[in-house]
Amino acid sequence: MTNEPHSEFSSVGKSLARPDVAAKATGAARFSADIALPGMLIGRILTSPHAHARIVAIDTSRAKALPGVAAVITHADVPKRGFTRSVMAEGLPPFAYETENLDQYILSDKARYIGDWVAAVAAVDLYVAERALDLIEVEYEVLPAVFDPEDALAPGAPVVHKGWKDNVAGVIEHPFNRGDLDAALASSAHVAEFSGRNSRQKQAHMEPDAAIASWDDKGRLTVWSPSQNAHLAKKAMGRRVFDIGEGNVRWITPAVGGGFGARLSFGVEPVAAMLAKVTGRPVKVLVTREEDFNGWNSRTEQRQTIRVGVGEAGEITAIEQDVLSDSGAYFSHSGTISAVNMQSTLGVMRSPVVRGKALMVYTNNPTASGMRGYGNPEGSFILQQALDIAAEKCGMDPVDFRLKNARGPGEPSMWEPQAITTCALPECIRRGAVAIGWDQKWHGWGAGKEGRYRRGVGMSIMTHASGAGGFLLEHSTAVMKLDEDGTASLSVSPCEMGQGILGVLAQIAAEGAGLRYEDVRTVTGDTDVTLFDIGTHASRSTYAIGNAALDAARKVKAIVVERAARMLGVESEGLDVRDGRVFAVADSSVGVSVAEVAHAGIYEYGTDARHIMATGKHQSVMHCPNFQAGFAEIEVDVETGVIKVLKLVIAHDIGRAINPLTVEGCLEGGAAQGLGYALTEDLVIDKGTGKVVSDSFATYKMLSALDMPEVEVILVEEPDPTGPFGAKGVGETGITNVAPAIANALYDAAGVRVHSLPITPEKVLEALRAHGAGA
Amino acid sequence: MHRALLPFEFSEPASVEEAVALVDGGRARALAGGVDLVLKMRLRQETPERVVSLQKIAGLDHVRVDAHGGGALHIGALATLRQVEQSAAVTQGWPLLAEAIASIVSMQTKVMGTLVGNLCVGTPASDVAPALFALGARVKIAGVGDERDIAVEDFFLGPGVTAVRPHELVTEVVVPARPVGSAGRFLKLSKTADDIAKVNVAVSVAFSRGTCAHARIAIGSAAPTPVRAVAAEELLLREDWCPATAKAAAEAAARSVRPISDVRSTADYRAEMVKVLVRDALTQAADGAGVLDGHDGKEA
Ligand SMILES: Cc1cc2nc3c(=O)[nH]c(=O)nc-3n(C[C@H](O)[C@H](O)[C@H](O)COP(=O)(O)OP(=O)(O)OC[C@H]3O[C@@H](n4cnc5c(N)ncnc54)[C@H](O)[C@@H]3O)c2cc1C
Repeated sequence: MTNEPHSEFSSVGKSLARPDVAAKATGAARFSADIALPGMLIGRILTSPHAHARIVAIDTSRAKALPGVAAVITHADVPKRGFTRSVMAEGLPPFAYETENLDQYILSDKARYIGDWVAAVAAVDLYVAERALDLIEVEYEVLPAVFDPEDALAPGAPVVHKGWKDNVAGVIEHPFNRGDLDAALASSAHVAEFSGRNSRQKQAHMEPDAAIASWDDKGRLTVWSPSQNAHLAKKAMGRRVFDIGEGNVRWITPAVGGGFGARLSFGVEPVAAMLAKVTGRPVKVLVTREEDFNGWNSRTEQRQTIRVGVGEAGEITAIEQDVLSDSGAYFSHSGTISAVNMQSTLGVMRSPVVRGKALMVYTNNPTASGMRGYGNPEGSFILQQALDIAAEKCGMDPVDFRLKNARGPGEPSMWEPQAITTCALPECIRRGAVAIGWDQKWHGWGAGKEGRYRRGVGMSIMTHASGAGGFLLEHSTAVMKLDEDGTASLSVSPCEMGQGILGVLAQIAAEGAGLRYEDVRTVTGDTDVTLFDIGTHASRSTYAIGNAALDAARKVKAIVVERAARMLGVESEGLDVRDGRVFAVADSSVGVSVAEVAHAGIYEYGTDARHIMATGKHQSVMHCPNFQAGFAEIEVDVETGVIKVLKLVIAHDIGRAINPLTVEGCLEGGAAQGLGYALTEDLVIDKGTGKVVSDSFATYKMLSALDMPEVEVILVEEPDPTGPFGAKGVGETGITNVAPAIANALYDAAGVRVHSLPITPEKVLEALRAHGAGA
Repeated sequence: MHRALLPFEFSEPASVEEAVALVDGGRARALAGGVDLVLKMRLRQETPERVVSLQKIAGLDHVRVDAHGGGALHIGALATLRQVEQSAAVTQGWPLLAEAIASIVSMQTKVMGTLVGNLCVGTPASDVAPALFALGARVKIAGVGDERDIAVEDFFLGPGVTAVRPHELVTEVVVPARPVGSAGRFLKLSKTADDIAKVNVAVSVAFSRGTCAHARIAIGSAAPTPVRAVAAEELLLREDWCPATAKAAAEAAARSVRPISDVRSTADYRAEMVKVLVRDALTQAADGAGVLDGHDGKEA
């Protein structure tokens, strides 16, 4: 549902076309793998066929002898410097960074999962590089391996990391634990409990990983890769992987074919940099889709139990969350994602007593990482079912139960020292309920539906950050400059990975400076040009980078007004700027174009020249939480267990939709990914060997347009005073409510709950059997 | 894992005779649409030294009805899935086959992949195979200097194994004219619309005075090859048609399969779904053949 454009604005609130849309649609956009540098070599990586094996010896002589091979490197050739793949971790405060395990090297001396990186080749072309891989001889001593995080905790389990006494990768106590849990649960009228686990959803970005690295004659490294946070990647490369300093790294981000959190981690950049260093030539490292599936990124599998205590009047008395995270072979994002899971899961409902604890465990599974929602879709799947169970125990409507217990303005946000500024959650719940037809379709607990095809409705709510203020470094600097023709360049550092941020920032800057949208160019993708920013994650770019852009734009406008006043010979107070023209508010016929002002500033032959520009900054310890309610109506076939989703409703507390079409697209895309997470997407790992079985799009099933139900997006606009024109974040949120809303709808339809994702027909049928219903 | 194919020789013979001399089913492989073969070559599941393209052979891309040979449908080895699906002869005369192909939603696969190639892959999950089983199709295979003709049921020998021997090529699939008054139904369960079947079922039935006069039931993805449920067919021919007969036939059909658990589903689920799909398909086909309206379907 597109809201009416706000007439007080020229650009904001309008569904304007994104600046990159034509290049993406026509194929003109250049991605990392499209770039070719003179003298460039192609790099490929040799991966381990064993889940756990000591590398006894590697013979590279035959590979090196192959004509066209420039270098073959192994663990013996790389710096003995541990790092974490999580580049985002660079934004952690120092005390928190210390709990990140720096357990990763450019190439491993021990294989810890099938797909671990053992050696790498640079050659004149892909064909030679791959022939060379075939010629590398590795002698492995195969070690016992462990693939289940609970098994990994058992005494005597194989230890994944040398020098560690066990597989406990880390423990995190929720920082806002409070109260006496046992006492609170004991005195509660009801206690609801739900346990379950999520799947290792793949980010499945369309563009496979690729990176180019090149060192210049002064020892300065340039990297081209699809990073979501180039400035932090620059630091990680310059300070952790190599010891050359941030200034010796330049990071260029070409067009990016999707990220979904995967690009908050190093991909193949460190290997590319190492091969380029050894050969003295630019090297482009490429991977296959199968390698990506067997590799270094997926949602983290989390096994959780949540208990919710409720009082006589249906008020929540206590919430406990217990999380066991399978880090996989390397720590990567598993600590931060477990912490953010508790933060968002325990942060949505009001509760006097809170207890959260997470344990991260190493296994010989592929390395997990962060993915869209970053802990929230994991925690919400459990919490939102526990809330429905609690509502049922109190005999309350799930809508009323949530309205009664959800946090609101003035109460602590998910990062508790901060208070919620604005919260349109009640409105989201009410409008969402109307859109799904809740009052007509929800017939009370135990409605006892009959027949082969049974319909049900379910809901879920969530809160998510709009920025990382409070828990990560959170600031951004934008530069805006006016050219002679009155057009402007806005230099900022988000990652445009398909979400439309370049256009949204241009809309904000255009509105703020009084320019036309088409006259603002968003310049990004080169750390030598842009100023520091922590990158695109935490649903922050519109909010945080938008605030920096708006600050810069308003300063540009002030300079324009001041110079225009002198040109017009009037007081600056009475002037305004809109659509590229400065005019007197009292008499709009008095005015001058921004182009004339800008031109006069540069072509000034006296002593008052000025290239009009300004820097703008956002820094905050607040993350401006956004809220959302999701609803699903489903029909389950109790003979096949097949769930047909009839409709999804997503009502989001957007503050202000800078570009309603982009926001709707973002939420619909999130819903599609959420539906895949709910019903089909599953990275299946063979329990005996640790091999990823679903390692292609033929076996890892994402939904296509043919599988999508109607999705109704409702944008609830209650401008937040801290956001640019009142905007809050949205990027990650569309995915979160879908699985829990469907799970709750399944219970409404057929009286069963499935405890693991995805909710497949096989599991539904099994649950129906156990319940004594169905065929 | 590799991005690039290993080097191979590429031949483009102009006749079936030349092609048959070249292919040996192992080191030298035939290529029709290449949808399956090229992917397997990249994954190194197949590493042929010679790839023999059939594309330059004239006279293999037909989909036509042979008016003289009893109105049978002839599908040449180069006819694409899309071509068969859209052929008016097929949609009118053998709608079951069009329905089965329509369940393959990947348009790229259908415009590149051939129907014969789909069979030659030898996968038990083929959507085309059950329909051809139910329609009683035959497969023509050319060898060096000879040609044989086998029932489609005898074509599938095991997962990835077909009756095609070294120095043989399939030239045609022949589907006989549909029994008078018969109706068919194809049903498929899969994770997503574009996925390979967990289980698929094709049935063809015709009725005479309230009893099946013709019944063929074929099931895919539930055994090492697509299978015909012969015991279930016999039961249908014996018993009066009623919902209980459909259910009994479905139970009998479930005894003809030997499903496994894999990345797509579990053995248990597949066995259960055979019962549901066979019953549903029979019921819907019976409806199509007019039996539920009290007609015996003769004029359908
Ligand atoms: C994305 C995708 C989705 C798919 N979905 C489905 C689906 O839903 N249902 C389904 O049933 N199938 C599906 N398929 C399979 C697809 O239909 C087959 O792979 C395709 O039809 C093969 O035909 P082709 O002409 O490309 O064969 P090719 O790849 O050229 O050949 C396949 C094999 O058959 C051999 N061969 C080919 N022609 C002959 C001949 N005349 N004589 C002897 N041997 C021969 C080749 O040597 C090779 O071993 C899908 C495939 C893909 C890639």
